[in-house]
Formats: sequence, structure tokens, C-alpha cells
Amino acid sequence: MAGFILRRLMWFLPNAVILTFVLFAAVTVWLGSPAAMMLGRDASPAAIAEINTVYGFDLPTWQQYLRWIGAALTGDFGRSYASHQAVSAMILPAIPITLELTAWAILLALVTSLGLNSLAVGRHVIGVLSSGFSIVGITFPNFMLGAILIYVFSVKLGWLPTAGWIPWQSGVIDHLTHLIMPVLTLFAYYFGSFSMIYRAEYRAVDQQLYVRVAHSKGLSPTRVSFRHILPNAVLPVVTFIGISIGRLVGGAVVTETVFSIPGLGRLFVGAIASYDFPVVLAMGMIVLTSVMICNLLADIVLASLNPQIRL
Amino acid sequence: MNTLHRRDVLAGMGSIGLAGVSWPAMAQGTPTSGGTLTIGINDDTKTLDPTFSIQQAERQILHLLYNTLLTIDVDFSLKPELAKSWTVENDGKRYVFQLQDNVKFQDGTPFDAAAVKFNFERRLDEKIASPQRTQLAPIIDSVEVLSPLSFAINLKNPSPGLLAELADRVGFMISPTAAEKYGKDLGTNPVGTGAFKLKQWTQGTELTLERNPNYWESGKPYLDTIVFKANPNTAIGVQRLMVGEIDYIYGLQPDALRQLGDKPGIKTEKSKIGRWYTYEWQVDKPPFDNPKLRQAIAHAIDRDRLNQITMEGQATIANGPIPSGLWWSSPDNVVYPYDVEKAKKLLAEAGIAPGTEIPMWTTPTPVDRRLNQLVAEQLAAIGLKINIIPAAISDFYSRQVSRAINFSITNWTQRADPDGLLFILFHSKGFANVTGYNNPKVDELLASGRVTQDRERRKQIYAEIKDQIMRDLPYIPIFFAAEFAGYNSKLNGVVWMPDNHPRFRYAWKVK
Repeated sequence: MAGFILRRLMWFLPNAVILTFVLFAAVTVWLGSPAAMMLGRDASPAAIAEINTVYGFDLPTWQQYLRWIGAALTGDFGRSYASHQAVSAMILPAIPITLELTAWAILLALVTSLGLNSLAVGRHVIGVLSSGFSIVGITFPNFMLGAILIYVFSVKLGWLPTAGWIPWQSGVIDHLTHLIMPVLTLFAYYFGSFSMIYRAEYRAVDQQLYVRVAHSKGLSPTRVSFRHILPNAVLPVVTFIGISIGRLVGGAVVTETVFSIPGLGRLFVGAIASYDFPVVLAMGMIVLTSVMICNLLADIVLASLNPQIRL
Repeated sequence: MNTLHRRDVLAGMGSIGLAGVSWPAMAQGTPTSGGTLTIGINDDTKTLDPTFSIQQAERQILHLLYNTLLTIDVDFSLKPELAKSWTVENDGKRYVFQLQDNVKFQDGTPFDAAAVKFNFERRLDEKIASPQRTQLAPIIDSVEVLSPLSFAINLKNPSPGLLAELADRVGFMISPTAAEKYGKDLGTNPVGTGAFKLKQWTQGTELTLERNPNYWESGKPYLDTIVFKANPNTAIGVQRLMVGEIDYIYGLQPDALRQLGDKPGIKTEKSKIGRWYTYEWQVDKPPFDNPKLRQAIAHAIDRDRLNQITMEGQATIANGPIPSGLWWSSPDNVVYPYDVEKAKKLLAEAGIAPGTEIPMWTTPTPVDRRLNQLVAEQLAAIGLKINIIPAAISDFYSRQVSRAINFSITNWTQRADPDGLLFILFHSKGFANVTGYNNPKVDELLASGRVTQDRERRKQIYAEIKDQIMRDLPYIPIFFAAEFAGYNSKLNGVVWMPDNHPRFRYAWKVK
């Protein structure tokens, strides 16, 4: 196992360089010089030329990239073009926020989808409800669900605050009430997709001999479902979680925007829109890192769940 | 030889205490102290360092953290703020300012002429690369400290427009000690002389300001705390206002009036001068280099109908780039009333055959799209087929500048000095001149308006420019849009200035 992990980690650096170079080239070639964005509507040709010189935007792409990667390898991700803040100072506070949102949503989705779908054996109503919710979850657009939740629970009923983010330190209750709707919005899609994957694998596992043996031993259907089918049917879900978390760290952009949550997704999209390249590149690194780590963890979890998998 | 123009001397309106800012407040009554004001804004706040600030949303916050040297009144006239008086010398090439006494920055350091000089040098420093530099460098020759409470600016050429800049971004005075201490991190650690200090800022979500107990205008400010909450869009903002989560939101379209109109505890206010909505086209090449075609289109557009449908009739029809209510406003001498028959006749004279196709570009913004569709209908009525091409909003302006987009609706906010907007749009070398407009007479007038000191004379010059522009039609003005603010009826003292930024500094709330 150690060798496996080591080999995976060795790929990180070459992947990082390739990915960031491609990202860098893409934004500089397609989006062009950020000078006009940094100057706003007062951008005169003279001002643009000055900014190009000071920041080096008129240098060839590879040269600009080398400047960036040289600094990045020492941990210096530069300063935002828009706010002049250190990029690390902008990103670090957003990380725990997105992680928390993601963790809640995925955990909730995992528990409810596995629970409901395993419980559905012999309980027709639960099965129908669960199917219904999963279809809604997958097809309903994120922003619509979020807006509907806000309208119902904030505007009409007044139970929950409309948007925003309160840190734990400012009040646990406040923090939780602000968390409920964003987590539900995000959770819906994952409930749907986990359910579909799980149910498909469930049906396959259900055909296995050992399941019939368990039934013939007289075990209740529910016990068979949870004790014998679930641990085997959950494997593709684990893989899917690994992929999902990796991507989610790039931020649940739509949810974060609708609910005004200062997470990584909003930071990323905002940076792309305002040509804030240092932030875009740093975020690229973060997404790459998290995808690599999550895939690695998923593989390790799979291996521990299924001794037949050799790493 | 130095000449002191007496008529340009503005006496300070009292020394300590009231800062001669007598903005008309939104409601009468005696201000009560205390309370928290929560404002909804769209999330555009990137930096609180005026040196680099370009986002509109930041301006309202900057006016709370900092003071400016001068300030504007509701007709863009200039009034004292940190500079309590000033004189014009040397035929407009030298301004001498007297500063308010006993003003301290929020870090305790004194505000004085040396601090002012530091601020100007910061804006002009090439290494710092402030967006304001290229505008100031050709105008300012040097800044002199004359005494602790007075300084002078020497100009390369007379430039009355500079004074208006001192009421805006250039005029925000930053503490030199803080600038040196924080360097590039000043954007998140602002230190000014303003009525409020930064307490906490979660970027993209919430920003909290608290009262500055050592503020130099005695008795002010009234509020204890001001909180800015970011709204992802105005629909959510309006809902937040209705449930009481925020007290003030502006930038609302007229249809928000329907939602807020009869809600108890909520009032609405219309902006004094709205954004100038206008069609632009390239007049230096076909088809729009044909003056009769331009006039035909001008007569074919029913602007009242556009106003009714897109602005609920609340906008003011524009017959030029200058609205009424400003010190340089002038009568509308050249107008193009809605007249379909005349339009058809002009079109024929222009030699354009009915059924000719003309492309028009549009952004996805609902107001823009609706306007363009209505105009396309109206032009179809005179025989022109408009082909609407969608374009992304993010690079719309830069595509206009690079001339990739011809014929589109655009909008501009008024600047505090007439030269501000008119030069960049209508001078043949103006950097926002997307139309290719080149009229030597207008160029001459703009150049002279730029250096003339006398306000009455400047007013005449800009009136002439407006008339000529309306004769040449590089733009077709449509209206000055109606924008609304919705607010909690307990709120008083907020002034929505014609530069489209509300001023919250002297606001107060009824208990």
C-alpha cells in the first residue's frame, strides 16, 4: 500500500506543472491582457500600456508562466490583480467554508440515500418516495431549488435567514440556520446520483448467491439489505464520492452564489470573470490537489472494503 | 504673474464642526443617535484602498471610511470637505487649498498638508501603478506643502476638471503611516479620516463598519454601525428588504415598485439623475456615415413607448448627453420627435432601399434586450430590417472600443465635471470614442471647455457642444433611466447623489 501511495504522489508535481501551464496559456491567450479589467471603464490606451509594462502582460506567455511557477514553487502565489491582496490570504479563509458545506451535503446524501434505498426493500412507499426525490434531485437546477427554498422558508414562513454565512464563533445556532438551505440545495443532486448508482449496484448484488443464502437462513429482508447487500453495493458509490468531492472543492459555485457564501467556488468564478489570473491559477492548483487526494483516498477506502482489490 | 480670482474664492463654511455639506436629506426631523443600518449591495467590493478602487460598489463604502478633499452637491457643484477653502491662481495653473484643522486619521496620526502630498505622490507613483495615474500625470506638475494646513497644486495646463476629481477617487485621503505600514494590504486594512472604521469584512458576503468616536465633524455620525450585505441579485435583495433583513437597497428597476409600492414600513425613492441610455454607432463608415439615415432612425424611434414599456414611464426622455439639474445643463434646442412619415422620407433621401438589413448587438441584460426588440420593431415600420446579434456582457465594452461592435445600446453615468464624460465620448481622440466621431469644431470646443475657468463661460461652451452633437447624431439618446431605492421608513438622511452612489455618512434611524 505504501508503494502505491508513493507512486500516486509522485505524479502530483508533473501533473501540477502541466495543468497550470495549460490553464495559464488558456486564460492569457483566450482572455487576453487583464489590464483593461484592472482599469475598469476608465481604461485609456496609455493606462493599459502602463499596466502591461508594470505587470509584464506584454511578455510572451511562457515567460510570464515561468515567473508564476517560480514563485508558486516557493509558496508565493502572488497578489490578486483586483484587490492586491495576497492570494493565499484570499483562498485560505474560503477553504474551510467550502469543505464544511461539501462535507455536510455529501454526508447527508450518503446516509439518506443508502438508508432509504436499503430500507425500501418490501416497503413500497419508501421506494417510490426515494425514486421521486432522486429524480427531482438530479433534474432540478441548483439555483431554482435554492431560490424556491429561500422563498418558502425565508420570505413566506420566516423560519430561516435568506442568505449569508455566519462562522461558528459568532453563534452555533446562527451558523446552523444559515447552513440548512445551502446544504439542502447541494444535497439534492447528490442524493439523486448516489441513489441511482446505489440502486443499480444493489440490483446486481441482489442476484448474488450469498444473498439468497442469507434469505434462506431466515434473516429478515431488512437485515439482509443492510448487513449483506449494502457493504457490497456501496463500492461504486465510494468511487463516485471520491470524484465528487474532488470537483466540489472547486466549489459549489451556484449554491455559493445564490446563498452568498464566501467559498472557493465563488472565488474561482469571480476571478475568471475579472481576469484575476493569480487567483485562477492558485484555484487550479487547489482543484488538482483535491482531486488527486480524493481519488487516492477513494482507492484506499475501496481496497479496505474489498480485500479482493490489490493496490 | 499670479492672479487671484476673487469670484472663485470659496469661503470655508465654518471651521470646526459642520462641514458645509448641506445635502438635502430624504426626510426632515431631528437626527437620533445610535442604531445599525444594514444595506444590500451587489458583491463587487474588491479593495478598500482608494488608490486602486475601480468598482462602483466600493465607492459608497469609501465615503464612509475616508473623507475627500472636496465634495459635490446634488447639481455637481463643488463644496468643501477636508479642504475648507481654495483659491485659483496663475490663470488656473495653480490651486491653493486651506485644510480643516484638528482632523486626525483613524490611527491617531494627524491629517495635514504633508499627508495630502503623500496621497498625490502615491497616485502618481509609477511603481504603484494606480489606475488614476495616467489621468493625473499629464495635468499635475507638482504638489507643494505651504504650511501644515495648506498646500498647493501646480498644473501643467489649466484644468478645472481636476477639482471634481478631488471629490472622487483622487480626493480620498489615506493615512501615510498606514500606507507605509500595510503596503499592498491597505486594501483590507483601510485607514482614513472618515466617520466610520472597518470592523470586519468577509469578502463577498458582509462588511461591517463601526462609528469613529474621534470623527472631526462634531456630533456626527449618528449611527453606531453600518453593515453591507452582499446580495446575489436584486430579487433576493428586495426579499431581504421585505423581511427586514436589510434597511436599504438601491439600483432597483421600476418593476420593483410594484413589489414594494404598498408594503407598510417601506418607502421608495427615485434616483435624481439616471443613467444615460443611448444608442451608439460608428459614424465614420457605412451605413451610419450617412447623416440622413441617422436622422431617419432618430425620428423613427418612439422613445415615450420605450419609456412606458421598459421603465414604467418613470424615465426622463433624453435629448442629448446632458440631463437637466446640473450646473451645466442647457435647453434642448435640437430634437427629433417621433415622426414615422418624416423618417420614411429621410430614409428615401438617404438612398436606403426598404428591406435593407442592419445588424445590432445586444447584451443579455433584460432592459437592453427589451429596448433593442422594441427599437427593431419601430425600425421595421419604416422599412429597415434589424438583425439582433447577442453578445456577452463581460467583454461588451472592450468590443465596442475595438470597433468589433457597431450599433448597440449603451449607458453612462454622469461625471462630476462636464469634461469627464463629454471629452472621452465626443473628442476625436477621446478614449471612449467608439463611434469614430470627428468634428473639428467640437474638438475645439471640448479643448477650450477643458481649460476655461469661468463657470458661466463653460456652461455656454458645453451647451454649444450638446447642440452640435445632436445635429451630428453620433449617438441617439433615449432616456435617463429611472432607478429606485427601497428603504425602511425608519431610515433618514441618506442622499442618493447624481453620480449614482448613495451617501450614508449622515444617515440616522428613528428608534
